Order: sequence, then C-alpha cells, then structure tokens
Amino acid sequence: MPSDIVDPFARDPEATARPLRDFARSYLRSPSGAVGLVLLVLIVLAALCAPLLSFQNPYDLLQLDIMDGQLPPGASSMAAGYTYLLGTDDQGRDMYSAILYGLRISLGVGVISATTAAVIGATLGLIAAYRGGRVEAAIMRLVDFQLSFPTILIALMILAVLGKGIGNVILALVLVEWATFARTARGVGLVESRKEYIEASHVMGVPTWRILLQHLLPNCIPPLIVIATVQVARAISLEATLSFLGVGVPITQPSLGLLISNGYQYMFSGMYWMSVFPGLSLLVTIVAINLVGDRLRDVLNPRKDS
Amino acid sequence: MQAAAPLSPLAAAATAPSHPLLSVQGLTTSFLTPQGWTPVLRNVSFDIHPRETLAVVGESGSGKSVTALSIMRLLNPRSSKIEGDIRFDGTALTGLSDAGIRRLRGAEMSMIFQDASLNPVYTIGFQLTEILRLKRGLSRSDATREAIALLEKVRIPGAGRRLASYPHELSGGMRQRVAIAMALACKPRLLIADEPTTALDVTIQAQIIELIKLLQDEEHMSVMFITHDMGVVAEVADRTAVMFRGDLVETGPTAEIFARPRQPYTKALLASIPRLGSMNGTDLPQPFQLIDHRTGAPVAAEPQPEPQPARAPAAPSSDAAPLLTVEGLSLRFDMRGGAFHRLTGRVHAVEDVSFRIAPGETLSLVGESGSGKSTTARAIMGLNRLQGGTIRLGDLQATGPDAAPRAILCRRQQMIFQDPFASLDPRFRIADLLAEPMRVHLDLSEDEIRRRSAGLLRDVGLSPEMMQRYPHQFSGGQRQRIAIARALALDPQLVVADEAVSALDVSVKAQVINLMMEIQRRRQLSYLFISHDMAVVERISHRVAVMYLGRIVEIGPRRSVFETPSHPYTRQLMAAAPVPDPARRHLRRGLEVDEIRTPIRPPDYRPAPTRMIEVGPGHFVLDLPDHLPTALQT
Repeated sequence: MPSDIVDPFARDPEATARPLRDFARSYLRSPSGAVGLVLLVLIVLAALCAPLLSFQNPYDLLQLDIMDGQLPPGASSMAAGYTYLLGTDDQGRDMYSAILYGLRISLGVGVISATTAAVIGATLGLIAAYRGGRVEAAIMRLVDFQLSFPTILIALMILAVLGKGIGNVILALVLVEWATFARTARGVGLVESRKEYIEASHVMGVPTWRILLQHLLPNCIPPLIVIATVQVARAISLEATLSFLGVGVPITQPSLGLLISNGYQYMFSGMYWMSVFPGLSLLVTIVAINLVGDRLRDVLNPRKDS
Repeated sequence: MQAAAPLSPLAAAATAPSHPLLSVQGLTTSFLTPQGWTPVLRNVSFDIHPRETLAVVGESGSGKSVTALSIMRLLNPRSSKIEGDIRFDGTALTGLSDAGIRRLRGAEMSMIFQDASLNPVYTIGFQLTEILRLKRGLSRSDATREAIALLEKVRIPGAGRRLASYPHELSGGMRQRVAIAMALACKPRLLIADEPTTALDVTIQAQIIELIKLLQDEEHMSVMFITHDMGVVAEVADRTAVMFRGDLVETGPTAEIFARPRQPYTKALLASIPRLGSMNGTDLPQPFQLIDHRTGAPVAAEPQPEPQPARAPAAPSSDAAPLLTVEGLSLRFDMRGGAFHRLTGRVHAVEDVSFRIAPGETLSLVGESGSGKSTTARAIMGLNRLQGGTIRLGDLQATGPDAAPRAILCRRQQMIFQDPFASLDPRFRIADLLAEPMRVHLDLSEDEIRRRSAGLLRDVGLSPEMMQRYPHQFSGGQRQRIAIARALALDPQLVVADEAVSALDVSVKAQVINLMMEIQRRRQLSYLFISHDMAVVERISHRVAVMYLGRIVEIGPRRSVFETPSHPYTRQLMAAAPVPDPARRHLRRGLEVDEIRTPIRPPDYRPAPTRMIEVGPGHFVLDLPDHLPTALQT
C-alpha cells in the first residue's frame, strides 16, 4: 500500500452520507414549502380516511334524505340527528362528506394520470436523448405536435369520442400530459448522457439497458419529480374543468369539479355553499401541491445549492 | 499569521516609494452557511506597492479568489461579511459606500477573470466604447478612436476591423486580450488578474503573460496576479503570497520564496511542481520526491517489498511484440449546412496517425487543444468511429470486420477521464462503482467482488472502509484514485489516461502521477497518457508523441525528444511552458499573435501523405513544411 498520501484536500474519513436527512433539512428551510407540505399531507390524509371522517356515504342514495335538501351550513338534520357543517345540496347530500369523497376522486385521477404520463413520457424522452437521430426526431416531432394543441381541446375531443367515465378521463389526461414529461426528460437526458460517467460506463462495456436504467434514469429523476408535482395539480384542475363542462366523471361519482358544477345553478339563489366550499377545497389542494412543487424545484436544483 | 515580509534591498530599490498602493490588514471574510458565519479567509495581510506585481498563489479552496473579490467588494453582501482594513492609496475601502466603491472599480482598480467576461450579444466595439463613454465621458467618435487604440495596445491585429466582431468570433486568447483592453480602458492603477491564463493553451498563455508584463511597464500599473501555477508566478511576480485554506502562509520576494521557502506548505508545494528539463540525462520515468505539507519533512518512500535496483518503472524491452499498434488512424467529422443539409466541409480531427506501445511502456500524446490527442484516445477506446486505419491490441483486431467483441476488448483496455467530478456516477456508492465492471464481465460471487474491491482501494492508497460512501464525499484527488481503482478492476493491460491529472491541484497531481507509476511497476501496465502539460509528460513517459492539428509531428524516446526537440512546433511548445525559476523573470518572449489554424477542410480535400524522417534512434519528425503554426512558417 502506498504510503505517500499527503493529500491536503482529503476529506474527513468520518463523514457519512445522510442524503435523506440533508434533503429534508434543506426542504424545510422555506416556510412556504413547509406550509404547503403540511397542507398537502392533511389533504391526502383526509382523502384517504374519507369514510372515517364523514357522516354519510354521499354516493349511497339510501343514506340521503331529500327532506334535508338545500340546508345552509350549520343546520341540523331532520332525521339522522347530525349537523351539516357545510350545508347540503339539492338532494340532501352533506357537502362536507361529498367534498371528502370528491377529493379522493380528484386526487386519485390527478396522481394516477400524472404518474402514468411521467413513466411514458420519461421513457420516450430518455430514449430520444440517448439514441438521437431518427428515433429522437420522430419522438420529438410527436411531442411538438401534441404540445401545439390546446390541452383542453385535446381532452374534450378524446372524451367526446370515448364518453364519460373516470378511466376515460385518466386516459385523456395521460395523452395530454406525457409530452411535457418527454420534453423535460429529453432535455435532462441530453445533458446527463454527455457526462463522463456515462462514457466511462461505455468504456467498461456496461450493456445499454443497464446504462439507461441504472445510470441515466436515476440522475434524471429530480427535475422529473418537480414536473410531476406540478402536473398533478394541473391534472386535478383539468379534470375539474372537464367535469364542470359535463364531459368528465359520471354524476354518480362526483369529483370536486362536478360538485362545483352541480352547485353552480344555485349560486344566484343565494345558496353559495354548494359550489363555494368544493371550489375552496380545490383551490387549497392545488395551491398546496404547487407550493410543494416550487420548493422541490429549488431544493433539487443543483445550481441553487449553497 | 505573518505580516508581509520586509522587502529585500534589491526589491525595495525596484519599487522605490514606500507608500503602498493597496494595503490589506487583517482581512477576514466569512460566508453565511447553514452552520452560521464560516470564515473562508483568516487574518490576511499584504501590501502592493506602485508598479509592483504581487502573485497570490494557492490551490483550490485556498481563498485566493475570495481575497480579490473582497478587495473589489464583489461578494454578495447578504451572504458574506468582510472584516479588516483594506486601503487603496490611503482611502479605506471598507468604509466606502456602494456608490463610492463603484467609482473606484474600473477607474482605479480593474479586474480580469479566467474566462474573458464579455457579453456574447454585443460587439467588442460596443462593449469597449460603452465603458469609455460611461466612465470617461468620451463622445461617440472619441470613444471609437480610443477603443481602436486600446485594441492596438493589447496587440490585436487589424484593430479597426475587430470592433465589429462578436466575442464568439474570436479565439480564447483574443477574447482575453479584449478583456484586458476593457480593464485598461480607464487607466487603472491596480489590475487584479484572477487566473487569466488558466483556460488558455500554453503558447497563448505565454503571449498573455508577456502582454500583461509589457502593459504594466507602459502603464505603470500595479498587478495582483492570482494563479495556481508556480511556473506563472516565477515569470510574473516581484513578490509572492502563498495561501492555503484561507490563511496567508508566507509572503516574500519571489526569488526568496523559491530559493528558501520557510513554511512546510510552501516547501511541499514547490516540491510537487514538475519542472521541465529536470529529467535531462535520464532515460526512465521518475516519481516526485514529495514533502509533507504539515511537517515539511520528505515523505518516506514506500518500503520495498523485495530488493529492486530502481523505484522507477523499468525500461520496457523495445523488441517485445507491441501491446497496442495504431496504423494510419484517421478521423473526420462531417460538417453540414445550408438548406439541403449539404456537406460543407470536414473536420480532419486525426490524420494518418501511427504509433506503438510496448508492454509496460508509457507513451504520452502531447499537444494543445484541437490537436486531436483526445480524439485519438477515444477512438482507441471505441468511443469514436474511425474513417481509416487499424487498431490492434496485442493479437486482437480492435477495428474492421474481424474485430474482437467489445466485451473482450473492454477487459484488456480501460480509460481514466479528465474530470474526477464527472466520471463517477454521483448516485453510486464506491462499492458499486468498483463492482460494476466485475459484475458485467466476470462471473464472481458478491463476496469475491467485495474482497477484490477492497484490494483495489488499498492499491490506490485508500481505505476499504470508504466503500459505503458516495463520490461527493471525496476530494478531487481521492476521486481520481477511485477512478484509477475502477479502471484496474478488470486487470487491463492498457490504460488510456485522458488528461487524467489536469484537473487536480499541483500537490495532488504529483501524488497521482507517482501512484500511476507505482501501479505500472507492479502490474506491468502500459499507459497511453494524454496531456497538454510538457513538464508532467517529462516525468511519466518512456516515449512521447507531439501532436499538432491532427498529426503526430514528432515521436520518439522521451529523453531524445526533450533534449533534442527537432520539430519547430515541439520547440515552441517547450519554450512556452512556464518554468518555475524566478531567474527567468526578465526573459522576454515573442508577442506575435498567431492566426489559429483549424483542421476544417473543404469536402474534396486530399491530405498530403505522411513522411517521417528519422533524426535519432526511434526518434521521428514529420516532414510536411506547411503543417506548422503560421508564425513558425518561413
């Protein structure tokens, strides 16, 4: 063993890596990011535990009492004996419970469509970046084509053909969103695949699939996570828009957007609660997700590292 | 911490007035980190006298640039804190308002940076006249006249025509000249040059250093010259300040520092500089004698396992079958343009290059940027497609239709890259980085892989306990050791090192070179060592090939090439290499500006056939009269 180690720059041998803890610490340095994260956790928990937190299952028509219809917030039920915190809609559905259940659908649709789009988009984007040439040209022209249409128009066209339904909404959202991921993944992938560690893997004879999956993909993940977060918020609002327009989820499983739409017709009769409370929930959800996304972008951006 | 040493009588005579132009006393600069205010400069004190050049020398992280930025107050006031006393011509800079210091910047003291700081979207003329009009209040036509005068002062040919050029239309050396012209626009009394030549090729570096020296005489400026290169220090500085990790270690007249360094760190630094010409009279590579930077004592050589005549790698027998044979290697890159994607020209990156490497031998490829040395290395590793020629590795064909499979070639030849921060995947632990080639190519149990990885780490002087760590937890030198360990994982016969030590600090560079020689001795490896640094090449090579514009212009045994360089370009390269000897300070070199020649040729270009003349045993020189920098052509 060579004994000539007098490297004045040698790092402390005791230093250990705690990437997760360091990451959490730098994330929480921003108050708005912390607030966003707390809100988001609460919202997700509320959506997951909806059956435990609500008084009734708003989708079970047997539990609804038409006599309780259009009650203002704070009114108590005629028969069931509980208080409608946020009022009821025209069919006597408890708005509070409906919002919790609607949140489930909105979040579910958002998360499923964004992750599916991320997987498809990132795969195509990385292949484009790595292979180059005709493969890249074909994929990226498809992306350009996709991005040149207004998203709402594409979604409307798809749903007009396929009809309503949660599955169809998710499909439409995936088709609308994959292109954003593909473009980002290609950009990041181009930068990373020119780096020496990728070349070093070539020189060592590492198979292509291994380079793609083990070296290229993990190093491209951070920006994709940021995009994914923002895209979940976008998907939720797009789904709400589609449902509001009446081409989204079916009336039997109302998401937040559909609740807003249902209450909208009573807006001018002074029964604001049917549409304002779902609207507020939607707003808070999207703001929370965007706060988290913004903070993630700052923390994961190596150039902003201290 | 020491105050500036009193000037020797000789130096004092050269810088007559006792009143310093810039006086820095007890400068402490701290940066705001999550752990609070962390000092990056501690109690730094020095003076710069009128017309004097002070070199601030140090390795990365020594605080030399922060010193300059603190003086110019260019640090972010929210995340940095400057304490101490900085006086410029008697005025305290620390007490000055922002507007006050802005008036001084540019007008009284100017700064040039490593990467000529020009705005890419404006012409040079616009940027020069803007300063002249803003800072000196000249009219438009006066400013234009003055701009031309400034460009002539920095010896830019055809200055009048150059005003309309954009920065990207100029070479790196030319851009640095323009940056100097801008810094001189207001006739500053102090010029701070922060690594102004680090990004440039040696021949261009020599020109820029010459220019700065000349302008200093003409303009009667003081210069604070920041560099990591002791060779540059010896050529420019009256006095030298050595920095290490935020402390000013030692200051004194340059000749004193070089002849009688007092501090252990300075001794260690000086010991690790490769000196061109120090190996004259020897045939074999020789490791550096290193000095511990804490004690100043020589580092004990490795205990010899068995009695050996010399520590240096033995001479490879030249009559043995060559390990690597490269014949007539050519690489061209098509350039396309126009509406129909037509072929508009070709970059002749490598043109008819042939050489051999014997087992256990080091062949160095030297040359400046664009000479094709890296392209050659990459072609050997199979990273570039060749247009012509053959590469053979031992008895295996590496190119052509009957080439051996990549998997077999990979096991025999490996590569070390330039940037130890980019060549290791940041998301892999050291254990996985070392294991990867073995997992791909060898059928070994995980236990065996772990045992071998530990052995590899020990071989490169690292502890096997470091296996669970990530690359970012290591310094540059340690990472390059890891990269070397990984290259050795498959027990290759040939290692291609592409500028493998260029990114390292001098003291670490010497260690890594020693390590490479030691590994060569133990494993009978062959190296293809790519470098632009003549002094490093002199240390490590058995044979040397000098490349220029895609061709080998001179190849032969190291001693023969360095002692009797026979090609004009080789001689120019050797003359341009900065030599860490203060006695050469008053040596004046030519200032002629070279038109940079490019290897871009029209599509129908037919390269001239290669003719080599033997000038000594195994020592060949290219005989192509026009394959030369324009300035050398007669």
